Amino acid sequence: MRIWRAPPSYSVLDEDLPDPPASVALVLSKGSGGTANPSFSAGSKMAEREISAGDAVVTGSRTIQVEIKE
Amino acid sequence: MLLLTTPLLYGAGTATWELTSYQDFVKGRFDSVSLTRDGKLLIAPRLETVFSTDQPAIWSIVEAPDHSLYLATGHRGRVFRVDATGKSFLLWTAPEPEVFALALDGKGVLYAATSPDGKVYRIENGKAQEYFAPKSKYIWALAFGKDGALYVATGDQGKIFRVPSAGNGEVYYDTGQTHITCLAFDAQGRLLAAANPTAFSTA
Repeated sequence: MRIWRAPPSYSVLDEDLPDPPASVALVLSKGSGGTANPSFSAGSKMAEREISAGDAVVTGSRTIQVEIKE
Repeated sequence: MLLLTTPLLYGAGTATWELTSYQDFVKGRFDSVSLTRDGKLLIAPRLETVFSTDQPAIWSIVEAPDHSLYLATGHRGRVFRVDATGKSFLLWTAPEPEVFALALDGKGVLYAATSPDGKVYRIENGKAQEYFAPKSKYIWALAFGKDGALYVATGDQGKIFRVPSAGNGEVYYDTGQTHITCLAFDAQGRLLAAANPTAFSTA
């Protein structure tokens, strides 16, 4: 099982600003006159854990989205 | 009998609490008050509008020896100059949407760093020439050392470049961090670098 974080990415005048520092993200996320639109790009791995499947054979993958509220 | 028919009465309790630390006060809303990092509340400095750029963000300001100000803004890549009398004008518009950093060299010539995938430009007499391209997603900070070289802080590879002359830059320090967001030299000439996500490092 892997947990991935989707870092925020922003788009300004068709230029991508991926995963900026929090202070910059704070400014960009305030709308900024409608020119900075937050979007989400591919994430980074936060944790990985092996889970025993016992005698079963597991194939394929499944992705679920988990929202973490601070 | 009297005891059985008398309703129970509860008095209002008194609660006390203390707010003394930065973490306590920072949750509040500030009006003409400043909060220091060690939890002291002070009367805030008086604010006076010097110039309104009408841009969504002002990322960096530097003061020239003649007391004029240069302002780097986003998201249209504009750099403004405000002279000592308060007169302002658009100095330069970058090809990239963000100008995150400014610096002045020993002669008072302005350098501006753009993002994303930006460059450092040398701006003199209103004209800009490419000075250095670090091939990084972001350029967060610029600083001139006593050696006259320009130091360039970048993300998202966390590298600091040393640029002694136009087009000649090399990695000065690879911090292993994601972003280097600020640069400064201390009195001993040591380069200080603020990093993200780890709080602080020196080089």
